[in-house]
Amino acid sequence: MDPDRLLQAARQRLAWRRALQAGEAAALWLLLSALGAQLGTLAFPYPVRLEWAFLAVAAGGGIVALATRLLVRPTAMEAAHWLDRRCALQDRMATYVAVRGGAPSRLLGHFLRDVQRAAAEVRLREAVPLRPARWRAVLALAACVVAWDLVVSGSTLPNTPARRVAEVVRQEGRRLQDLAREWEREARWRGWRAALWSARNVRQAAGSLASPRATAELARRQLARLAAEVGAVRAELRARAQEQGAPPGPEGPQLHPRAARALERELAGLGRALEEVSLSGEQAERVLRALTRLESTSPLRPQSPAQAALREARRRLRAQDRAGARQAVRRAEEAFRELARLLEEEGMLAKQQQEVEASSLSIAGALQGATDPEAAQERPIRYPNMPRNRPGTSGDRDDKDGEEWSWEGPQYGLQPGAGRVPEKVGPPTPRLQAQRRPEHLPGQPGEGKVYTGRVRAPAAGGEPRTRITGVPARLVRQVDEVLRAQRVPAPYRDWVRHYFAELAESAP
Amino acid sequence: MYQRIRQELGRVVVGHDEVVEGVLLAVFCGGHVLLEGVPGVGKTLLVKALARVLALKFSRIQFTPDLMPADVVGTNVLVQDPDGRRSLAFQPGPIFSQIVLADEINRATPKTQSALLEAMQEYAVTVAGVSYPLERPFFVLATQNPIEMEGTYPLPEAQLDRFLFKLRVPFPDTESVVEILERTTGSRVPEAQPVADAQTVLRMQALVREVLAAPHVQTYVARLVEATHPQGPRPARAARRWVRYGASPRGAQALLLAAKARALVHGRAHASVEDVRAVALPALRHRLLLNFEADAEGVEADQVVRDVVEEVPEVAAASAGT
Repeated sequence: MDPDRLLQAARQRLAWRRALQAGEAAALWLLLSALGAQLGTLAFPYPVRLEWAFLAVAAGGGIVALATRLLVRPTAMEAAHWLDRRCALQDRMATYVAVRGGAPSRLLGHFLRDVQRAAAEVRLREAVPLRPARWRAVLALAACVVAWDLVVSGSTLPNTPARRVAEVVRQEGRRLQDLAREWEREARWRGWRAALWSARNVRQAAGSLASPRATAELARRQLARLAAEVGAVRAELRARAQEQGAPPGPEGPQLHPRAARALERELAGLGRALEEVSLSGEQAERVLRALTRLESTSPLRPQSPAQAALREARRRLRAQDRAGARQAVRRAEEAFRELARLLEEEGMLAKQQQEVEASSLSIAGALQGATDPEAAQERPIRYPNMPRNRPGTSGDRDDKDGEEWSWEGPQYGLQPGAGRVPEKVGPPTPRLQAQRRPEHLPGQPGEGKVYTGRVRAPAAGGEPRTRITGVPARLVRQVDEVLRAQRVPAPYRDWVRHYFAELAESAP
Repeated sequence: MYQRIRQELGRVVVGHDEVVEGVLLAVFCGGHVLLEGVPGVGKTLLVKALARVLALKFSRIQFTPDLMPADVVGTNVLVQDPDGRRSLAFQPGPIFSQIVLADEINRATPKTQSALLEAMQEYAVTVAGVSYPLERPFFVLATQNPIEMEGTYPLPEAQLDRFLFKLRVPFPDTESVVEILERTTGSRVPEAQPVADAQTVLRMQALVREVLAAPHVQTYVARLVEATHPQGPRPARAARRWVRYGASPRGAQALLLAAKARALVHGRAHASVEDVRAVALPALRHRLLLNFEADAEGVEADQVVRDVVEEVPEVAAASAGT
């Protein structure tokens, strides 16, 4: 091959070689970084389940580096040096590039013939190989990044923040699994299909959370999706309850299922009374008054089927049509029964949603505490949005002193010095017939082991064992101010508050 | 031609391939050589054989402490013609030859040693204000004994710099000694035959200067010499530690010229970086002035030159980058 043509071809191949090398190096470093980030999750719980993003970035980086490098072509002298070194030409090509346009001399002709001979023996494919040297390493790293996600992801080292977060995730998974089984059993027994479907979904998701490969970020995404699904089913049930006449509210129908059940039971009694053959006029009048009272006090909207049936029953009873009145009362009773069922099912779904959200919150708190110990220490205690009896519904109104209690959110009274504390002894808190949540006693972050207790026994019935005491509001305010001024760590605030409360109680 | 000369020399000189090649390169470059070796390893024999093979006039000067400059370059003597008139006539010294063997050059006083300076650099001697040119080609091949240092006068740097090469003549290996014994203790001692003459040598010297040297080879030579200077912009680590003063620009000239000669005797019309590396040791070892620390540590100039050659990157490698 002519030396000039050889140099031209070598320049082109050299440009491609450098570009490929640059692309390969970029991909290699990006994949190494990705693998390093994944390895880091063994100790630190930051989310890196972005293996496809890593691969895409590595490929993109490689292509950009390749294209950038292709734009800069090597000079003829660089190509000549390359050939000299790779083919042991003893600087023939470089000297050729330097002297090819020079004045003729005795030795120049001899040199040019020598270069021609040497160039003819050069095998360009071997002299400038295009295959990158480390492509196997790039492929192996890419495979490792994917394999990590498929096989090893979720592994953690003991006594690391990542391990603590993983434990929280698994605990939440097991807790939700237990709850979901209970919900499933109850929903199957009561014939609530929507609640049953939702409970099964929760159980499946909780199973994946309880598996050893679950990561915090994956768990949070899964729980968020689950909460959204449950919320959608709840919305459907709420819409159906509103069609049945339940008054709409900001967070659902403003009617407690027990109220609907009570109305249903009362209507059943009235229906039975109307079935009496020897119903006197006075008794019929009492039934009529009862129907009138039910219609006027019922929280349902007037155009609801139940209200319409009640009006029909009253009209029939006034017209001495007892059979028609009885049928109308039955229709009203069935409407209330359906409404109560919808409300109860919606209540179970609400419970599922709250527990799912509570788990998500717990995992988020663990993540926050793991990555920022200061935040874990100073973070205010956050409680999930538990269902509260809303003002205006039955049982929520404090009828003893006539003072209306207003709903001020789940954080009401948790901050020191905020909120109102009524100076009176209230009624005992009713025991919830549900499993207690696992109690976490984490201690100070970063110190000692984490002990986790799990209570599976049903809650004790009857009166609460802890005596309810009246604490003057002034004292509470003082204690709160002291707690705030002395910067008492959050885990010890309740102990300090109880200590002063006991002091106040024992004081004359 | 080179091969024929080597072949003839090989009939007399056993082994010492590197030394023989070094001497021949110096001859083709027109440079002088300082041979260093213990007595009896064949230094004088080599020079004599070379003079015979090249058919050049040969003279030998045995340097002793009482040797005077006039004994080397010659002197004006009073002569009387047949008419009885007396006049001063220049009596040339042994320097007026083509190959001068300055045996044990370090035994003469610096004054006498410096008498060689003009001859080596200017190819002429000046006596009583009259300059006498020396016949070309002219080579000085000096020898010195590295072990008997008592009563010697080490060559000054200025004079050392005038030698193209400093070649170390090592003790021959066993096979070579056996060969020497066989050749020299028999009834017939082999003799070299002339295969070239002064004109051939001069033509070779002219041809060496026409050998092509690409800019990157010249740059490499410059960087190599630059790296031997501890105060320079890019000193090598070894130079920074062991060297007091590095090689001169004359050293760079010697390096490139020797590289060209080496390329030519290897059948190439261009010098390469490899040629420069091959001649770096004999061309630079006597041009480095080592410091006290090197003396104390027993570090030799050869080691420093090798380190410098290893450290200085080839210009091609730096620009190619891949």
